[in-house]
Amino acid sequence: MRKKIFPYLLSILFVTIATFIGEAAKGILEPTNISMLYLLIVVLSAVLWGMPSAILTSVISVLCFDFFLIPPYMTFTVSHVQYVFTLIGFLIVGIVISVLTSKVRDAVLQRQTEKLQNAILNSITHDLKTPLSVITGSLSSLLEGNSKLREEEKTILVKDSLSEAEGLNEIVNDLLEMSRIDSGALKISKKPCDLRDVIDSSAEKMRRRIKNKRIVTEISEEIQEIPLDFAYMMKVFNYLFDNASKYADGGEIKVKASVAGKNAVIEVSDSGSGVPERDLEKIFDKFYRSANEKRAKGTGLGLSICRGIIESHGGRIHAEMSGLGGLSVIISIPMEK
Amino acid sequence: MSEGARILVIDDEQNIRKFLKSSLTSNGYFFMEADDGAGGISASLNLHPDVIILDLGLPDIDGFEVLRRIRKRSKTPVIILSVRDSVDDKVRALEEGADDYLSKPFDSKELTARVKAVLRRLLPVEQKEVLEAGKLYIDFTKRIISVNGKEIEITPTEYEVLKLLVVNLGNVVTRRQLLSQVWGKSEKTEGALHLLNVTVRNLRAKLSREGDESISIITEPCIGYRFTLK
Repeated sequence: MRKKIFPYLLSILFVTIATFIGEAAKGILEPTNISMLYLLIVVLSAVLWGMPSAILTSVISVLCFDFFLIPPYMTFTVSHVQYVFTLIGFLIVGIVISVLTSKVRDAVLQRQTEKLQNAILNSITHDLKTPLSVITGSLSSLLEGNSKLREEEKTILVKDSLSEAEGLNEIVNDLLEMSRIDSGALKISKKPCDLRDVIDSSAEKMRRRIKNKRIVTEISEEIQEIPLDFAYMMKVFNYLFDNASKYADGGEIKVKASVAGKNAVIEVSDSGSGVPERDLEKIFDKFYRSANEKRAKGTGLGLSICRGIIESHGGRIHAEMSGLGGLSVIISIPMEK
Repeated sequence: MSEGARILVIDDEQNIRKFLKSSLTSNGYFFMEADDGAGGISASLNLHPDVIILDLGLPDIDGFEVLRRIRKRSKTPVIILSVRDSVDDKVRALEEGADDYLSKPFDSKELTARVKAVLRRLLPVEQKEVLEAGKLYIDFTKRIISVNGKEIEITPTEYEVLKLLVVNLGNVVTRRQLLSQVWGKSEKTEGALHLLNVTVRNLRAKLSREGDESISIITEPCIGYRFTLK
């Protein structure tokens, strides 16, 4: 809400400043010259904030211009008919400028959004088509060179196809889950669950993926049963543990849970290379992948899916730098039904 | 002996039936097929399969309905295949009488393991002396469990739970089965599920202490547990 009022308040401030300048220049410049100053502000408002605030600026400018700078001063009446034309002309020009400038602004913004969308589509295309290329390529090579290939070569082609297909399955599942979240079709059914059980089950499932990392849990005694969708919460931890294993070598993954007011607060931290401060919120964007790391496998949807699931529980999730040097993901879930 | 067991596959996708035939026959099973619900139901009655593999996405009759009709007339174990993998679908399948649920796409080795597990259940309960599952070794007569040659200390309750899971290797054992066979309690009893969860958690901790990566007790959310080897 605050963000929305800002442009209007600033526009009014600019008009006020222009009026003061106008007052100061009253004797020196003709009113019509001062009006240029107001038009400048209208342009500024249109470029920065778009049509609605620019139009507000135009209207208030005309009123201030009339009241303060056109004789008789401090009234809305004018001493000469010509000023009526000035004011009308001013208003028309102001509005036309507002409309045209904001159209240009919108076009520029549109192009930026399209660029971003294209980048994302290119990323998905790559992620889907690459495994398919391996599968199609490997299997067709197998068919083509069937008599000439040695057994080991054939086995490698088949194994590669299988492993790429498994990776592709995960990508498809991620995309489906994200689709469900976006379309509001995600159905959470909460039942009282033991958080320790969820974490333990997830850790067991991800054990092969996490390999050389230990998961250390510190769960407060105050945490009893929490209304959760067990399967979906397990997915959240699966993603978090998977991320920690991808972006942090060695070390441990720490899971802390405690009570804060009416919520259970769960913190999952790793000792990896972490994420720069400015990206801490961006990592929850769809398809975000950290630019500096070697391109790890995965869609970049994990954290956005986590956010979708947590928010469906009525909770919140965000990230901070962890004390261990890596990333800390913090989840807050209401403990009452 | 599971060799030569008769497996009926009910799936409308020809290519799926093709690779299942390839995989199952190479494991020594006798392969039979049906490509729709009506055909599947009649085959289940007339061809006397030992195991039925049923796809839920059939063109003529709803998969759950086919399952229900098969169950009305026979106790033949049924393994469900489906592209849908939500917890609700899995729970419903098991409640309607299926013995296991595998979501597509799946590794053919995984299906073979489930078929073997389900066939093992059919065998008369022999008084086995020992069972080896990967690095895990159970001596039933002495009630000793060892991993990697080292004996592990577990409580009698933990032993019973682990035994039930291992004997059903690869198959899901429902919470209801575990609670009733090990504790004689029902799921609805206050604190029963919690007791089960804690026991499994302790078991996992003890098994993983030996550092064996291959043994896992996987949680099937809202359904039960599955002991697997990888």
